[in-house]
Amino acid sequence: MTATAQQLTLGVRLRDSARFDSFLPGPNAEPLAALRALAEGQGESPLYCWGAAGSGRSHLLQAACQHAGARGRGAAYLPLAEHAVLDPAMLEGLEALPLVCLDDVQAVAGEARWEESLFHLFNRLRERGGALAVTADCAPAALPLALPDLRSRLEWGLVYALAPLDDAQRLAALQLRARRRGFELPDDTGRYLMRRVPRDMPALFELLDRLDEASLAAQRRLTVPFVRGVLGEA
Amino acid sequence: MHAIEDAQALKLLAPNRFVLDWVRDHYIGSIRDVLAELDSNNPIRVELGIGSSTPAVEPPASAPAPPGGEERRRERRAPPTGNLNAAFTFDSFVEGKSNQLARAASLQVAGHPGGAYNPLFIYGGVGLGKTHLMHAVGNLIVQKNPDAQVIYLHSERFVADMVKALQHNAINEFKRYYRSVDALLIDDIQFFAGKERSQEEFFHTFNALLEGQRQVILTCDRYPKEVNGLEERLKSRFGWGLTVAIEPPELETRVAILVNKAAQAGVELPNEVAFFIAKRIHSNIRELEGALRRVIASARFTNRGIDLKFTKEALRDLVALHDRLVSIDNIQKTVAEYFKIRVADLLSARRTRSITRPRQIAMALAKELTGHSLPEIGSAFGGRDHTTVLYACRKMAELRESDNRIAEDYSNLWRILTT
Repeated sequence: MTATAQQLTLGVRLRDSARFDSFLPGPNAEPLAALRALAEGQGESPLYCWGAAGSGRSHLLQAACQHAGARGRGAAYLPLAEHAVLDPAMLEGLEALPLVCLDDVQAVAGEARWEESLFHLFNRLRERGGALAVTADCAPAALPLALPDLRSRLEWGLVYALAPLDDAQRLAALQLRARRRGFELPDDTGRYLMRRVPRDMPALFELLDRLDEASLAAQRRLTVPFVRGVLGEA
Repeated sequence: MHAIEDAQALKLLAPNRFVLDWVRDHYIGSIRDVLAELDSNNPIRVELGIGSSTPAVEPPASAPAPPGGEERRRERRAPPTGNLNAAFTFDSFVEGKSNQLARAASLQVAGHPGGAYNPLFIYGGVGLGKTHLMHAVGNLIVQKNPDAQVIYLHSERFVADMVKALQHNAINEFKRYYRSVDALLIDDIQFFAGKERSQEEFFHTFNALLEGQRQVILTCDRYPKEVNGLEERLKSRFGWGLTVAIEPPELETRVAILVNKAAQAGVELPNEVAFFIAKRIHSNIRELEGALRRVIASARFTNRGIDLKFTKEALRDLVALHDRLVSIDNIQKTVAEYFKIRVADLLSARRTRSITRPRQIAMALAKELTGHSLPEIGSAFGGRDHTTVLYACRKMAELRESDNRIAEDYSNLWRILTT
């Protein structure tokens, strides 16, 4: 917790790897640019991105917080999926920050206290000029919200559906992640991985991390035979 | 959290009590360990507090000085335009049949604040322009009398200020402040529900303002009598002045709003694009504005002109969602349920009044809320001719003017289907 990185993280840490430059734009270049603008104090608020699990929602929001923090702009990241251990009272005073990011807002839909507190936070942020970025697994109109006031405010801003990546883009995303970690993932190895394991990006990234450690330990490059050996052990 | 460092101590500031407690319970040990590792001979102290090292966001210059607490010693009189949004004026308000009455009443009040229409009570669903009208009155009052002290605030802010004043023993300041204004504009008073102490305080503020012939304007999501958890004496007083409703805007007004908003953003919106958006989005003005923002943002990002093809692409997901939410099937089911008849009756050849009216309502709703053509709607209603659908739409337009009961049924169903 230093003055330059002022992210507020509860329960989860901001992942170091969750940066804008480690996010493959692919079909989502526009929401990526919109969120970056928001983190830099431009752009339109609220910004609402929705997509299936693994579409990069948390990555984007954490990257926005990191990006804002690196520019001396305080930001809060709230993983609402962990609302069971959180409390709506934690939303008080957040309007003092230039950027508030709410991840998985669907998790608190239908919970009256959360909905009302989010609604009030929205109003206070708007009054103070702070920005709000929200993600969910569905569009605002499809959220099972009880408070129409909150829904209409979420619909007010820019709403983007995060498009899933195709195979070529998934491979490119894996290779981007590998390069960021300082190693190369050959095309054939990447394609081999994608055939062997579940297709969602979080699972692939996790596997990539494991392979990176294994290759460091064995001092081997990530060839298909090496990877086959590692996966065989697991 | 904000961190302030000096030689001996690390001061961590949390935005609120919850975060403070959280950090104390979960992280303080680790933080101390890390600091001890840095210099075990001379460990740095950790202090936790609530606050912010730098005001990250400047409060608006026109914010009223909140009574109570630290601010108490500052200038007590707020600047005359407390929190009014200058963009919300009568000029920027798009008038239509749905809001005509509310607009006229608001203009009257702006011309004679504290006069016959006190309080002015504006109610209606979300995103229909209540807040806009309220600010428009405030702005016009200040424009006519620059010394007038007009305060706008959301009901939650009134509650929060009161709680703060109670904590700081400043309730008398609080009372004096809110009772000294020339016009008090409180938004969304349904959030007073269940907050008895706030209602009590507001009741006295309200009486004092009315006695002093100061204007009070309130908005609410429903008719005053229908707000649960609100004291009876408040409800009855809210009805003393003028109570006006805002209805959802009809198609032409929605189009006008879009064209108007686009022009404000420096964008010329082709008519067919405005109609395309307005036909598909009917629930409220915020969603309409959201769709427009998205089209404008995407056009700028891709450097393309806004035409119908581009708009359909940009709003593909939104439109698909609405088509799913408001389908002819869904309309038939909802209407049948509302009138306690069977869907099969709606599709049948039966021609008793108890069936034909709901059938006509359902057809008119299908025409208004879906993108389907008259022949398509006709065939979805048991293979009827498109002229039958056209007749139903005309009949409904006529009956909604002449028959209050039908007008109410229609708008109830409309609301159920679109929110």
